Amino acid sequence: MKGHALSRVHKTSLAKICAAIFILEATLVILFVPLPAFQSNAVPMIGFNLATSLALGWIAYRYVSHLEFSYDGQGFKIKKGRRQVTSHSWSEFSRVSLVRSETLEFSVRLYSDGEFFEIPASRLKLDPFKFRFEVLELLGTPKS
Amino acid sequence: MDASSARDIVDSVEKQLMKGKGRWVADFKESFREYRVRDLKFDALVRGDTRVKGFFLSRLFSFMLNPNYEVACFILSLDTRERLDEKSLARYLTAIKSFMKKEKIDWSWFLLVGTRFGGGVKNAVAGLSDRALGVALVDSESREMVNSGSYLGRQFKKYIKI
Repeated sequence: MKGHALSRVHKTSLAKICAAIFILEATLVILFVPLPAFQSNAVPMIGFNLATSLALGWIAYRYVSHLEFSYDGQGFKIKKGRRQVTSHSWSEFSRVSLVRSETLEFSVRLYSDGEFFEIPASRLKLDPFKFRFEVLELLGTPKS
Repeated sequence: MDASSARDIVDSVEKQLMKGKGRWVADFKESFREYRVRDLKFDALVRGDTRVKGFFLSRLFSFMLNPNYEVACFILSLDTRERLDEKSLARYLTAIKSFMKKEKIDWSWFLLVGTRFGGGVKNAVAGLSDRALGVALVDSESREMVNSGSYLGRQFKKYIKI
């Protein structure tokens, strides 16, 4: 089977990290910059805050939560951020299900002896229903 | 009828449940395909509970008023050549009841999709009065639905579009 590799930006996660950095920087400005100094330099300070929160947000997103997923007929590998790499063989799993989280994101859950591992299909921008069937075929369970 | 239209109905019902269509009755969160119970195979088993999640007020409302029942929906499509009789319907119902007991499921839906439902099966389904099991038959050609007379059977017809 031909291998697939996915590395798509999850805009919601990126936006959350950028917003958190923007709020942190704004709080530091409110606490440490005197009001008259802020009033005379408001536009450049807010511009600087926006630019740095976008730049730092992008770096933090790539470092902490960006997902890279690759799979072929033998197994799959998920890399989260710069460090966390998980790889499994399809043959380790015996059952597949599709699960929906509270945030309405879908994952494909792979069961192995009562334990499970989840592939976050929605975060990887895969069609979860189609991808689940693909995984079923990779595990050797024919599509209905 | 072709078998794909029956499978399309199975896929559509599974998608509706997983996307929250039945949330006024239960919140379905996990779906299995080709699920075996005893020696019988169902096309899909969708599981969930009645503790609906949401933002603060919905969560509080759900926590205070909703009992947290474990629920399941079994979906079965019958082959074009397969004919379901009362005896095989009873086998499926017995398997579902044993699964419910084993997995501590409080109530279930059972949807059968096919074409060759005899009058005896339709009458048997319409006459079912089990409070913990709602059964519905769907004719994949005419899209006509026959449901059991219990509250759960009526709710299935109300919330799921075929």
